[in-house]
Amino acid sequence: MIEAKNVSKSFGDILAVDNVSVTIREGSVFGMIGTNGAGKSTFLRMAAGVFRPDNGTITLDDMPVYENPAAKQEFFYISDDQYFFANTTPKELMRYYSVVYPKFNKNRMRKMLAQFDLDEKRKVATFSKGMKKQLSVICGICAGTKYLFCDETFDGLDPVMRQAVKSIFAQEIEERGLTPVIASHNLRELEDICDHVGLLHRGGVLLSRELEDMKVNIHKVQCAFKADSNIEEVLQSIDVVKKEIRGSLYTITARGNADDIRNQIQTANPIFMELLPLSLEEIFISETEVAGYDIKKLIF
Amino acid sequence: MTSRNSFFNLLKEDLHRRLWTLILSSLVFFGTFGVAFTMIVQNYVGRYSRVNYGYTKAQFIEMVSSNLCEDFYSFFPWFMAVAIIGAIICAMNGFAYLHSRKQMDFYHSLPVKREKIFAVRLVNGVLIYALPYLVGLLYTYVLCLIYGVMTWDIFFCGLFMFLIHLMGYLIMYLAGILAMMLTGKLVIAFFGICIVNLYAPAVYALFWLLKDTFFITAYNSGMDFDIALSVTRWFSPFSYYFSLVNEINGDGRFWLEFLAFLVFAAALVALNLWLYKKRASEKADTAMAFKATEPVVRFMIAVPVGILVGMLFFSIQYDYGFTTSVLWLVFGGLLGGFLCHGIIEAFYKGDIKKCLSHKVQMLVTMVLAAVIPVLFMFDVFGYDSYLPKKNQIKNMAVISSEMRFGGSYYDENGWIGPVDYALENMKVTNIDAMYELAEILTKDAGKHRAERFFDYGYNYVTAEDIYGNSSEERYNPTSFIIRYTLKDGSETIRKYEYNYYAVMDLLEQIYNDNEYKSAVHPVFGLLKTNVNIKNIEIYSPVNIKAGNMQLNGKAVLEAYEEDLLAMTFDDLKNSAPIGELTVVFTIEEEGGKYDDSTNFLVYPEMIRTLDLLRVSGYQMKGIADASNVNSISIHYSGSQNDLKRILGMEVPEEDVQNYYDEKSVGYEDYEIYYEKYGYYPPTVASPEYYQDIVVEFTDPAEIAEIKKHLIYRSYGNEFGPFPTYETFLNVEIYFEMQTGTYEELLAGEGIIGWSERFRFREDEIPQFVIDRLFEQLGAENY
Repeated sequence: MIEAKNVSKSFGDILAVDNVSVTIREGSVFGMIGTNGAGKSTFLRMAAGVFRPDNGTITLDDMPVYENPAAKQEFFYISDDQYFFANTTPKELMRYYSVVYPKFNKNRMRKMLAQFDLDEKRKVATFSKGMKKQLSVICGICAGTKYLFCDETFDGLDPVMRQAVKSIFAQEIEERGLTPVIASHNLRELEDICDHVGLLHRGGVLLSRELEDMKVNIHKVQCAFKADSNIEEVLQSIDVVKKEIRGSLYTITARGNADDIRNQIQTANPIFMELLPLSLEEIFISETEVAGYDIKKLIF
Repeated sequence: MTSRNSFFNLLKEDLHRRLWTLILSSLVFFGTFGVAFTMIVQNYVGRYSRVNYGYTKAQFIEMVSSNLCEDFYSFFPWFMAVAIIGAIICAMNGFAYLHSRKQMDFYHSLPVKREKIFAVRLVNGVLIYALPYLVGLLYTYVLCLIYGVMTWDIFFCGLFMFLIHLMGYLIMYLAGILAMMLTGKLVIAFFGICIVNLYAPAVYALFWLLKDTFFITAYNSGMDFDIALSVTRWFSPFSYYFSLVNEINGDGRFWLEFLAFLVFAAALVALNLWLYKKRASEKADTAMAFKATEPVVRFMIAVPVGILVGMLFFSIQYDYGFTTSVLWLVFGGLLGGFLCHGIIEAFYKGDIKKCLSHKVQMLVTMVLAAVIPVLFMFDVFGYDSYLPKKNQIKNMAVISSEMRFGGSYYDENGWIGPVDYALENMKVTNIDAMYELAEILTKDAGKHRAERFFDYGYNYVTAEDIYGNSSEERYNPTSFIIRYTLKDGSETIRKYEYNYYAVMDLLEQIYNDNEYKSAVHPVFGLLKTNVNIKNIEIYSPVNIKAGNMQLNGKAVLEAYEEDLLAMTFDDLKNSAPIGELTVVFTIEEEGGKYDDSTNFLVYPEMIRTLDLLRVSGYQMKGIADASNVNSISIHYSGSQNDLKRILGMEVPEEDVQNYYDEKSVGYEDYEIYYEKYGYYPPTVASPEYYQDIVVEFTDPAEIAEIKKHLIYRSYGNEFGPFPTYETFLNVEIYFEMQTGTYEELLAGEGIIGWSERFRFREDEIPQFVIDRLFEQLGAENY
């Protein structure tokens, strides 16, 4: 478990991370969302022991991270602009990482390089941006660490590769309980992979919740009513977050228990009613509004 | 940590990353040892193994060995350049990751402690230099073994120089790392390396400039470079390295030095590591890694730069008088301080608009840059008026440019000039006359300083300004160096300029003290050292025959010292040397033995020395007693009027005017005259007409008379009765001497001849010589 308690970090006059407290459980995928400059990368660098927090503590399995190789052996950090040695090849990287990470799996790396069609003897400098990202992820997976910190790692991957990486993550989570921590400014990238999402804004955490918990408490209903129905009265009895009306077709996003919402709407005798899946974006709109923020201004 | 993640694996991996520096270093040392030293060894072996040299095997090996040892040392500029450039490259290349955010993310997220990353980088930087050097050195040893010339001397010389250069490299390298730690950008780091290395010498030079410009009694001897090194060596790796090569000669002191080095290097490693652990990763790509160092560095640079700008302005405007020059001095300081502060601040912030930040600090910098040189100018520290109380003085030394004797002196520390010798050895305790002289000189220095800076400006001060109208008083500006050694052990040296004739009586008192004599003549030091005197050669212009003399060097020098002590100031003032003793001694230094020599002048009053020489078969005579003179030629270059002037005769105004008269024939008209009349003009020329004439005397009576007034020209710079017109009037004497047997003489062999140049003693040119000179110059009335 990674635990950050009241962590702050400033760069001169700029407060990059402000009193953040977050807990990242093992075996889940933690998504860290925020606009550019929200403090995601700074937080990850502190979690990776690159930066020392000005205040607060970050522990990994109860071990302080900063300058602690024992803790650092438990994660692999992929920065937003990963460094590769000059003139290096994947093969040389493999050799280097196997010196640094005791559990580094060379065979696995060879297999994955083949799977991703990356030549292990080719100079990394000649790789495309996406190929370098793939290589970073492969190195991270093969390092055999418990945690994988990815800073904007999916940015630059094509949809096919993104899916491939996601499936590798899923496999690793299932097989050995890998805990990826993914920082991104793009909600849609994390939608189908994260179990837990933390939203950072201006250095602080706006919310940090299990995605399922958020989904349980908010629902989207599409329904149609006769002209004389008492729909407006009914809607007052439920906690409507958003309402869209197109002719007789209503699309209502409301908080509360799904059955309660359905029952309440049923009392207005709808011609048609259907519960629709909510996107992460919609959930966030709802949750951040509760916190008093307009998410559209924060992320989109 | 598993064994795979060990220090050595990381070392190996890091070396892979820095392969180019290893290749570069290997190429350089291959060129040095593999090519240059191979050629050198082959050359020596080829040269000394030639049959016609006739060396025995042992001599052959010794010759090669001593030459090669010398080369290990004499190649030091190359080795130093390699070490300095190598250290800078390795420090910058090895720690460049500190200046890259990407690399910081990478290295500092790895499960490796920073100490280990630091140690790996540090050690590899040393190996990159040391390994190829050692391999090259070993190759040279093997080469010597193959050629059969390997000796322990070569082994230790090579190893010793390796150690010296490794020490220099390490200090430069650690200083380079320090600059990398303190900065966040490579360009700034490079400037940082320059500053770390050159700051102390530059500040020393600036201080020296201020002192030299504003303190008129500042003494700057030829030892300045050594002093600069010794003062700055612990503050500048560059100076330290230089001083290592300059001073260390492999004796016992080296190991003390080595211990000090180890402590110094360990302190630098510890400082670097401490800074590394303190250094925040986010400081990559910022100018300075530590906020606290920003004002300190800026201040340390901006103040001296401001002073320098002020000094530049001052030197340009100096001739315009006190008010103008001091205003420019202050303005330059303010402007230089302001600009330098602003530029550094803009570098720090990466924004030219921020150049006016920290206004109070800027103001302090500007004020200091303007005020410090003014303090020097007004001598607030009382430097020029320094004169300790008489009862505080333990001993003193006085050296006058008019009273320097003998050449350089050699002891176990090497060659030393007569001034430095006297400063080091003169510890006169009877200081009455010296102190009186110091009082006069100090008082005069105050007057001189006032005139130089505040009344006229330097260029307008003349001898008359300082000494008054010298038409009635004889005037000879002479420099005086005075050293005060106080009872508390401190030493102060000052230099003055004053009229020699005005203090001649005091100088006489000072010289006639035997304590003074034995310190002002370097010969007294020679016997006290362990210098091995090989033999003494004798030279006299009158008699060049030395013969096969068996001289006891020690006995001759002892007699010489005794004679010198017996000679008074008056003797020296009125006498002139008649010859010299050349003491040949053997010097044993690293790289081998060789002979060197130093000369001491012999005066006719030195009866003990002359007797000893006579007993040994050599009669040293003065020119007056020379019997082998057949003719004397007097060469004169100049006009009639020039001769009158140097003889102190009056030159009529009309004679000068005649030069421009149409009747006169100047040099340019000479050919015109020839073209017009078909012959060259008569020798009766204008009194200003420049001529080269030779007047020859063969009459024995005239020769005898002339000889009485001559002194040998080569000793003209010595203390004594020497005139200043030697460039115009030379007396050349041709000597003949029989050296062979009667048979040889009959065969026309055994007679050698040579000529020497002399001068007349001051104001002692015989009248018949003057007459002949004017006659030859074509002067009718004079």
